[in-house]
Amino acid sequence: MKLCIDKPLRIGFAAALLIFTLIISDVSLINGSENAVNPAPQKMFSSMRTKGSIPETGNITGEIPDWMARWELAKVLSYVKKYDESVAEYRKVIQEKPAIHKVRIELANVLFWWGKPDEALIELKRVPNDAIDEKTKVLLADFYISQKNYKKAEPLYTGYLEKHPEDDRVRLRLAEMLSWLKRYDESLAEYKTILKSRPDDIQVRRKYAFVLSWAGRYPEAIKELRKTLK
Amino acid sequence: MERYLMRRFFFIIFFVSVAFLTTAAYHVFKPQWVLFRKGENHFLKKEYSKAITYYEPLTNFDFKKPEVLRHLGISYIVTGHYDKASSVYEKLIKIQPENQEAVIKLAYVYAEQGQFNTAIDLLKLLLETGPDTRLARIYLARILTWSGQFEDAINEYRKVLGEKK
Repeated sequence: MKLCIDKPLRIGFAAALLIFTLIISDVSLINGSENAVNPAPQKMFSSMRTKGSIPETGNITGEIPDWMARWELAKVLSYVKKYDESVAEYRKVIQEKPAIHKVRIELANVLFWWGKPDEALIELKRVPNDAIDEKTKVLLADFYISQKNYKKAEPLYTGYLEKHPEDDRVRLRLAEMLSWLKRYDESLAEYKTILKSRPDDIQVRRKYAFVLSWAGRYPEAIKELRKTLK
Repeated sequence: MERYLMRRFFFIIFFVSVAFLTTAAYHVFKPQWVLFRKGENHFLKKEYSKAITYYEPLTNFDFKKPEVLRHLGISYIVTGHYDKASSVYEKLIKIQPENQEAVIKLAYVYAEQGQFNTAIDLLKLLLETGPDTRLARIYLARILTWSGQFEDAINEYRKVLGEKK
């Protein structure tokens, strides 16, 4: 009898805790897992400082063609979120230099940031698959997720994580996606990997606890949630 | 026949000796030129660290060839020795104040060292006082971007592209 009362009580308690944790704190060391985010200006410095532009052997005295200056302009415009102008400049560069895939990939990124994933996808389809860089593949996977096209997103995430196993941000997206697909064991395995490198990340632990509860593993869920309340 | 061979042998010995002696004399009396040539050789092969080892002693000699400073500066930049690069370009500008390339590179080195305002001021001064060089303006736009002054950078890029005065 005691057990019969205990069980619904436990479930109720877990549910209450889950709802409570949904409302409070969004402290996480991993951020930006939902949307494609313009990385500028934080990443601008390294991306603009390409060694190719360094005055190696008289390069600095040589000509920098207009299309290259325009390409740089397009990048800077995207950093200040003038996406329409940036896209226009990118298109001019592509018109002049259609064979440089990197320009088209950057254009696709800007279109993603602008909230035009369909146009971004059109641009990416014009680029050979092997020319698409890893980060753009992740962006593409995010786009597929937003369309609930998990089948296409999964190999992009797993392919990326094979090369960058340390990227917890992408692993979290994969873990979330797997949980939505009710592939709880796989999802939990990914969460465990994240928590190994980020044991103090409360939000990830709470998400992990949710998945445990969805998988019916309530005692474990409670234990994990308690850890986040200490 | 034997006499002919002997004469030929002596000629060869003579020319080899002359070549050897002139090379030795060159090393003794013109060591700077030997260093310069060796430095140039490595520089052209993009072996910048090795080139530096030959160019550096030349700065102590009174070796008046601006290429030494130019190439030493580039070698320092490529190998990431920005402090040394900036002093080389400062020296070069003192010798050749009209050398725009040196000013642009110095600005670039300042930017690499995080001295964005100094770099920007230097390039603006160059653009105000000298001819409006496209390259200087592109570097100004780049350094403005690196320093986070995006709107100003956009203006400069537009000027480069002839879309703004």
